[in-house]
Amino acid sequence: MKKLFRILALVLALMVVFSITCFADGSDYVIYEEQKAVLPKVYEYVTTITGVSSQMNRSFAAPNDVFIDKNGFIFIADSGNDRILKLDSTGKLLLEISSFEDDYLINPTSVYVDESGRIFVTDTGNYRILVFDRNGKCLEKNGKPESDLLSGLTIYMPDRVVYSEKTKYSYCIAGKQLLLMDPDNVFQGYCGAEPVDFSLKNFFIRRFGTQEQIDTLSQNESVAYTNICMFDGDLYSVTLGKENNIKVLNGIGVNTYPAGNYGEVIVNLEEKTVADPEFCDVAVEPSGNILVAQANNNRIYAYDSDGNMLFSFGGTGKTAGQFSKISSIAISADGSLYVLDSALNHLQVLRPTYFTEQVYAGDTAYDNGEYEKSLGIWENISTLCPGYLLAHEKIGNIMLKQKDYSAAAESYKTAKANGGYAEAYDKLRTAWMRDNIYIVVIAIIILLALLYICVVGYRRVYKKIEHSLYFEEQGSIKAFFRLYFVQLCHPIVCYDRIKANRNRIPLWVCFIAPALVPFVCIFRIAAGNYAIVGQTVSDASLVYESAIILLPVFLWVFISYLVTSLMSGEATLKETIAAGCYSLVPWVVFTPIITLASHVAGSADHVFFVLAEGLLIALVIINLLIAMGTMNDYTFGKTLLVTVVSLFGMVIVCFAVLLFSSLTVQAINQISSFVHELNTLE
Amino acid sequence: MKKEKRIIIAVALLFIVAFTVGNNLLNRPLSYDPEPTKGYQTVFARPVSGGEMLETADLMQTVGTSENLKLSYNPSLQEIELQNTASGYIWKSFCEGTTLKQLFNVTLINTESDNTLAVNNVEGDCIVEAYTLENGVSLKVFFPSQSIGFTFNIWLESGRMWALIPIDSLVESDIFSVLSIDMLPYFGAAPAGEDGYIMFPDGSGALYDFTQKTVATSPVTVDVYSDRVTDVDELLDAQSTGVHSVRIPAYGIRRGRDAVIAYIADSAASSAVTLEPAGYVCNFNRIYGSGIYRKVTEVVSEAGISSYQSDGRIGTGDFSICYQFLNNEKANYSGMASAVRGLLQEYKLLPENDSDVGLKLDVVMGAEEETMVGSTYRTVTTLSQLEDILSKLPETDSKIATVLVGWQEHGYGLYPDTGRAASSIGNLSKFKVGNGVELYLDYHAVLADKGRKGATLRRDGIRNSKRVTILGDIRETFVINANTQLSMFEKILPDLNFSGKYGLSVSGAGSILYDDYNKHCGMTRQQTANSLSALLDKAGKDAPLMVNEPNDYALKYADFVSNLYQNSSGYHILGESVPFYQMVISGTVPYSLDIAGNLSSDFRITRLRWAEYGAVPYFVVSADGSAALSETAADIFFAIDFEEQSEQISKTVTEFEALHKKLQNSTLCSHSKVADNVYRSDFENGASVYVNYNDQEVTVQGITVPAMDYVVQEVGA
Repeated sequence: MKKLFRILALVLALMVVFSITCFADGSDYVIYEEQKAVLPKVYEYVTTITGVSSQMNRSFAAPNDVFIDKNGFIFIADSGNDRILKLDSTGKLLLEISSFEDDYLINPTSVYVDESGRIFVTDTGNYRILVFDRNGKCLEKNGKPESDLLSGLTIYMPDRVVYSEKTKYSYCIAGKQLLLMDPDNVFQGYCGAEPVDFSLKNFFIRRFGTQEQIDTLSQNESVAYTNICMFDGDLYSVTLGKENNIKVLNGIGVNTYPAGNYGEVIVNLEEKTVADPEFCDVAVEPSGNILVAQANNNRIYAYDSDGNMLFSFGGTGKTAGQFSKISSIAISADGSLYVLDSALNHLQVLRPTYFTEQVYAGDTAYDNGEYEKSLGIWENISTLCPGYLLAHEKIGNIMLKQKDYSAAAESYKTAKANGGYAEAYDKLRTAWMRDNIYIVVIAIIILLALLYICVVGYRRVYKKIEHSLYFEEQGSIKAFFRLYFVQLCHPIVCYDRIKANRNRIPLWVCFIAPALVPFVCIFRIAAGNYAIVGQTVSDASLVYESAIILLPVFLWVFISYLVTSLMSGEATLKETIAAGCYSLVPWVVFTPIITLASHVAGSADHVFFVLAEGLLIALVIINLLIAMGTMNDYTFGKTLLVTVVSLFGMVIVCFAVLLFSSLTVQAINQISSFVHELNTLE
Repeated sequence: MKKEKRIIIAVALLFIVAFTVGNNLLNRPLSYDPEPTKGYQTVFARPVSGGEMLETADLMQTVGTSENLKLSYNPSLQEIELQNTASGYIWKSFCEGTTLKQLFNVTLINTESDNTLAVNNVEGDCIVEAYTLENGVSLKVFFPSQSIGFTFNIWLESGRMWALIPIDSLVESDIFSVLSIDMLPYFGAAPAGEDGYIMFPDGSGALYDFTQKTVATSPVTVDVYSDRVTDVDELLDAQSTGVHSVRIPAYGIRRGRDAVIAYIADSAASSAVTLEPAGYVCNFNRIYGSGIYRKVTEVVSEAGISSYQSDGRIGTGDFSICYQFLNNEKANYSGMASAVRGLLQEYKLLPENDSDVGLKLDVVMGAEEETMVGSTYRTVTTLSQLEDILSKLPETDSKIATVLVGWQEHGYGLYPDTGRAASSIGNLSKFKVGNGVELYLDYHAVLADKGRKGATLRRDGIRNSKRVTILGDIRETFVINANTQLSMFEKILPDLNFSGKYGLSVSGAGSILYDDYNKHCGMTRQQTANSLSALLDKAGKDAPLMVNEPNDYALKYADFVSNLYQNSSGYHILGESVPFYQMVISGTVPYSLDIAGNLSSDFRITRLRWAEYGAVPYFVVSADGSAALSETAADIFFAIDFEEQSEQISKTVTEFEALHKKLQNSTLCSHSKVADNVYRSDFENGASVYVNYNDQEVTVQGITVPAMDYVVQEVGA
């Protein structure tokens, strides 16, 4: 949670930074791979429709829904005025439906118009759905459908309705549930329920939980729909919660949209609260990209068909392009975006800028298989805004299709698209190996020969060094340098020699290995294969990377020393530290080799890389155990016992450190608030 | 044991006392003396007293004449009329046939109950006595119930009408204090549907058309010059969300073939402008200026009961508004701009700089980034790369104003500016400035980040009316007291301009105004404006000065004005943006707009806007491009690679040099919409620029303008 706060605080801080002087055209942005990038303005303001003249000079009152039909006419559910309005594109009133046949609307919350011009209205205050013809004559009054399955829905208050031209069924949201009705208003079932996977926790709650707990469970499992729209035969919907909150339901109610967390979590730094995104409406622009309106920050987010965020714009405010309370959005056939504001009681019309038109065109061309055209567009976008990493990913996708793997890998790397890079790199490597099979074979032979020479050579050198360590250079500084080599060949000899020279240990020589750890960390990230390492130098923290290697080792050293002191161990603190330092040697020596070797590996070989790194860590651990056993003259059994006790001690120390740090943080907070109080004094 | 305990307690107490005293001594703010900078405040016209009381007969009495104006006052009905004798049109302080005839609305606060109260000269008990002035009338106003009074002077001078409330005439009781006074709130009020509009001074300027069908929209009130700083986050957020400030406190009303333009003259720093559309309170469209005497904050108790707290101190001085009257072809926003330009020139508030600048180029030098080994300055343009960039620009007869952005050791976007250059960019003192290039160093004069060298929150940060320091929550930024800022600036100035080689491009000093309630160095907004004006004056003494987003009081120090708003904030009741600000300063100083060509969403539109508004083309570049700035405060510059942009820049410079030659640096004297998305800008030398924002060719007034392009109709063509 703290990390989340830190990330979001940074994001907010960046928002503030760019606000100091205006250089760019707006504050629209995209969040890509958890990084926020400023974009050129994506939608520009055209006009505002504030109200219409009818019998009374009335503005909208808490309007709830806007719909644009195929002819470009605007329909508004003007809920506070209990009416449905039909306007032309300039805002001129063409039709008003408020009463009919001695009946009248109460709080109509949504409106939908089908291909034939029939107007569907959720007359929420009257618990029914009404169907009007194009002239406002009422054709149908549909109350709550008769069905036992709807017994849980005690009050039927439909608040959204759409109609499928394909199936002739209508979908409505009532009580946050998505209901499917046939043309005769017969309930056909719930639609778009989330599949429930087996969960041990839920299993136990169902078996042994109280009724209240079981009820809570069922509430958690049901999907709470907030809005729907129909586009090209598919039902687009938004739901509450942060997971899978955009769904595209096909004819049989299955979600075909990629799973993910869409929208933005809202962080209130003052109150230290975090709120999930609350989508209030969804619309689809002509090329198939999805726009969703988030009510709790009044921003609009655009996503492509793969679930990539294209951009975000809007925000809370009263000026053009900002919103006080978005209630609904709609898109006309020409791509204009209509945003209904139920607090300011008006409808804003926005149109995509050149940049956005290019983004949509690039996507459309790609979906249509026009890769050359799409490539040109995305290259243009990347020139307009090099920080728009999605453009580089899209270029990478096209290059991959065109089998230009090198360029694809380069584009993916710029885009920080790890998966794409790995795929391109695999293909590039395979292609290269296929084209250069003779070089590969020769390289393997040379490597094997080198390996053989090394093995033979190392045995001779090792024997020489071992002899000198035992008979000629006992306890000299040179000997301790030579122990680095010995540690790699024969760790027991290394620790034995440390023990034998316990009074003459030059600690500065021993600390060379830990001192090299930060450099190796940098090398690993800077020189490793991006597809496997997965981060760049700028993403990484040197302190963190070094600490995850050094901290456990030195914690072990001190705890094990304490334990062995109590359990008849012979080793002194100095030699325990020295042994701990030497234990790191395999990691320091072999990590750079593995790093270089990672360039030969592809994404499929990722597991080998992880395994190799794991083996090195295991080797360090084994070295530490051997050191403890050797230097304290423990049997295998006793070594195991001391190991268990030491691990337990480490857990206790970690717990104590956590406790201490949390108390210290509290103390620091107290002191800083005291200092802050002092600072505010004059 | 007892003795030891006593010693420990004594030592602890001593330590606390020493810490508090030491902390206070070390962080004592500079004391503020308003006298040295008082001269930076412009004093406008003052009336000559007459002293005789007017008879209270129920008829309009002529109280002043000047050039084409005749001022009349009805003492019985308390109504004012101003006749423009050139056109015969009569401007009234009231709405005919209604009870809407207040000469002023006064908002008071009851300091005992913390409730606010509105009083005026029409409702309730108000005594108004009228006395003669030379060419005007002086109204002594008194509200007996509240024991509040002041003098309201209206007179004619040099063809203008002035209205003034002297601060020394203000009388207040122990219980009631004045919060604000709306001056002539119904003057020129126009019924809905009439032919005409209101020119609202938000951003570049915007029009509110009387014929537009808006329904029951709430009024818009904006503080003049900048919002009041009560929260740094809000201040910065307002700028990022496109809420613009009133940089020139002028507003106008056009009714048929007559118009009036009002300019808040004295104490504009503590004033506000309100636009109230017809249909909200009454069926009249109106706009008026208000003097803000005290700031008030609403406090909501836990029980949900709201009360108001005023800051106690009077934050303003004499409050005056100057009205100028126009008719026939001058009765439009172009004429209004021309009238304001004339007024500002008369009071020497505009610069006189006819230098020809062909390009404003911001060069990003570097920014601070977090790396594996801590934060470090990331250089994206060195001085040798800058030399290379400048050498690749086309040779022109006009100057290239080049601003070094992020040149200081903390890089772009971090504060306070200390004037210490980042060593990795090269040696600034040895850099050779080429011919035709004017180099400016970017300098921000208002903000500071907590914990950074150069300023401390406790000593230098401003305080709110409760005397608590104001610090941003999101980013720990505070605003530096203007007097302290001036003193800091004086110390570093010798190191900043490198013996006149570099000019300064100053941000903040001309655009952000704030109160400081520090006990030792408290300042009103006007005093802040004075100190920051002194800073700008000193900055421009020995080297050229560029001022970013300047309020009108800062204009006279500028050799170049940058980051001018190219549109309004876009309040929904407002119609199209107009280049009112640009027309006021046009011909007196070169200027550039707020959006760089390479950072706009559509360069074609930005280019046309430059041509339409008579602005200098503007680009932001760096040698290493945007990718090098990722994850730094400068990552907002999303497309600034010079190699990528150089062709576009060269083409634009050449194109605009040709355009400027045709316009001969003359004043943009008229601007109008001639067709849908087609605008015409007329320049004083007789040339006209037709700009077509449509995607298809348009023929207007016999001129064919290609799609998304402009055409210059030269003198005599």
